[in-house]
Amino acid sequence: MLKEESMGKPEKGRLSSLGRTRLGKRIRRREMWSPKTRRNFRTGILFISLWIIGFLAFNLYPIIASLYYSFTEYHILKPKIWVGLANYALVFQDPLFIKAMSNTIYMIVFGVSLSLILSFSCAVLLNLKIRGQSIYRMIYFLPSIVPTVAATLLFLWVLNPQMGFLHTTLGKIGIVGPDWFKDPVWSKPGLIILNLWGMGQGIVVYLSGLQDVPVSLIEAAELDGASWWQRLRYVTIPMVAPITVFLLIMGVIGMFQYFSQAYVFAAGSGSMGGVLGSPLHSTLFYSVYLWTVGFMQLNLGYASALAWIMFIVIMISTALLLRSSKRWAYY
Amino acid sequence: MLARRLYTSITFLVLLSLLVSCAPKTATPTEEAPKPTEAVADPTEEIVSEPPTEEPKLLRVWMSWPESPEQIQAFFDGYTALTGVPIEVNTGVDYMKMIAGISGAEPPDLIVQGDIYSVGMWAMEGMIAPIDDLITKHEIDIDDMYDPPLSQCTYGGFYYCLPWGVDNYALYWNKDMFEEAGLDPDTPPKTMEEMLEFSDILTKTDDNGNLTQVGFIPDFPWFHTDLYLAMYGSTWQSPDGTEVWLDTPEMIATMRWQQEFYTRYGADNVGRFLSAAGNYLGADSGFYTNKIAMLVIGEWQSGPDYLQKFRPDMDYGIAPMPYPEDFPEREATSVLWGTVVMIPSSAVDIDASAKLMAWMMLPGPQVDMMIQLPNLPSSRAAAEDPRFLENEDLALFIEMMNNYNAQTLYVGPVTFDILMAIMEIQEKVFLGGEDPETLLQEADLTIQEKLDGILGQ
Repeated sequence: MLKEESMGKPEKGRLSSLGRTRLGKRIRRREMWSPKTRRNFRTGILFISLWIIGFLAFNLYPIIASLYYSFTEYHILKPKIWVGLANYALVFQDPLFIKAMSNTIYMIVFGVSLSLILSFSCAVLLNLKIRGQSIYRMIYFLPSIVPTVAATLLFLWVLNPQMGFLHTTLGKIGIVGPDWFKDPVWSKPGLIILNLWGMGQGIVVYLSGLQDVPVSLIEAAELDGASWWQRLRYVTIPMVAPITVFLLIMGVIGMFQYFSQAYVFAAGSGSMGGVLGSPLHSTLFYSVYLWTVGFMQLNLGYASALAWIMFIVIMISTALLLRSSKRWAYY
Repeated sequence: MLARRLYTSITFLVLLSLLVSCAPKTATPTEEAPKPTEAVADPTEEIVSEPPTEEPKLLRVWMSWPESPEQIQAFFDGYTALTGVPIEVNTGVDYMKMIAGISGAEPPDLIVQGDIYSVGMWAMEGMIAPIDDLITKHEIDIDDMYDPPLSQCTYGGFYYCLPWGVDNYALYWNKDMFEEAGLDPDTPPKTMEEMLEFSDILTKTDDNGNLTQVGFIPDFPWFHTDLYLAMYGSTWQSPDGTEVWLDTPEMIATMRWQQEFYTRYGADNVGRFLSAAGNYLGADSGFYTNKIAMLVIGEWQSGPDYLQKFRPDMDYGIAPMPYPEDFPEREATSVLWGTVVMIPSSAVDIDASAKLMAWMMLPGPQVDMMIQLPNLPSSRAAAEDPRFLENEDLALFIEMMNNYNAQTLYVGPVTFDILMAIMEIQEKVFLGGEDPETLLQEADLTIQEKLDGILGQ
């Protein structure tokens, strides 16, 4: 039926040549569908057509458009001017691009790794069969459901260098806390502390992984005389390695998209708060810089190029992480 | 068979209509674009030659001011009562939404922007309409307007906006804190050098050397380098807008004077103090909580949304910004900024927008609106209204506006770059203790290069 409708009168030679191609295989597969399957297929497509339209209009079209804009000098209401690779070449002369990239890498190296270590450690503790286990789990998970802006505003108070909770607590033990908002050395660690406070989701994912570690393996290790640390090091950690890979990749992607916290942090931290990336560009992360270039300077062509560079960097780092994980993660 | 074709056709049509509705209304990307300078050549041609469209049923006004939405809607209802044209006011619209709105399918009819910095950039981008012919057509009396704020509305020799509420800055001081420090509460500092001396007297530290009270912080709640630069007798761009003047001796002196407030009390210490100095828009602002004794801020500060709301009991004084000791002729110098009204070039009926704009510029409606906020009017006739002069605080600001030293700074396509550069340099100079001279020279070169590119030199 389908053959006759779509291809007219079949020719033997044409069909056999089509049969070797992908299209041919697909047509042959469709030929095998029963009328009911075809009807179901069409209905299914109709049901998800809203999503398809949404995807094409709000995802695919902007993605392709931004690729095109990255090769142009973009003007909002005027025609775009084709500039070839000029926007991409500009990054090599742009010191703020380097600064934004290095700040982001700092957050990945220190922020993501610390978050992984602490999430895993907390998950191990929360996995212990103790009284009130579910209450502890809830306490650790709760911060992760606090909205980002609210959490950041809260930490503006916690880290306040004159009357903040952390400052006064450190003061009680004789330590003069740093100025998290005005000292470029301490601004990123301040944001890392904020991230660590909201690491509940990582803990939950690790917890699920820990519960999947076969008890038989741990018991076997115990019988072989392995200590608690050896069981953790040689059994538990390798068994949850796939989860570590997942969290690591999501963490890297998340850090390249890191914006809201840095925006609120800079905006709410005193008189120079209007400067994004304050103090001294130390919180100028990649997405913050991209936003500044695009929407404050209206240089949307360059901002599109920055977005595509970010996409490529994320793709490469994800591929590298996945490839390297074959050496240390067991699936 | 038929059903399948129907499915396919419906899906295709829905998709097509969605993509068409999402597409920008501007020219296709492949069209050859004019150079920016060519666009400036005569931008009125395109706008005025458009045939008038039918009267819109509703005019949408977008404002960046977050305050008093009901009050502002009530003001525009006055226009509705007069003309029958309903107005929908949207307040607190941020910069991003403005840009998206102007370039979108349903742009606002009028934009009221609380700062002037975007005018040059938006005009260059063709986002706002030139209004010279509309000014003539609707008989808007620009001769009645104060020159400094009006001059900020020009780009490439054309008007792109009109000033509505004018902002003027002066020194506010807390009389109780002066008295407590042994200073005469009715005598503010007269010179910029005296400000340093007063600040020393008013600044206090605790046993650990932490600042608990500060006399003055030059960039609290935000930067006022424009005003201090005017006090030192300069500006950041040449009056014709072709040169960037960031590395002048006056600008360097301005930066060093401000830096002094940080170095005297320790940059780290001031930084910490500022981190805890509160939110400008909140009750915890350092000036309201008696932590900062002197503040450079605008006329609205004494209004219902600020001092009257957060510290109605404060005994404060207002005086013109002190001048440099060696230049007494600069007494009462002020830099006028303020709110401007613009028409998006994509507005559905530009003429209807211009009519509303013309009504807003009339002295009567201006007084009604500005007295409530309070802001200063851009109309000289409105400024003579007794309601302004009866208010002691506003009378002082109006007197400063009428002073021959009242001025403004050039606003053009690189103004935003200049502001960003100054703010970044301030961070490095105030907190990092760096010398401003090299930083200003570098910024001057970079921005001049960009400006030359824009001007096609």
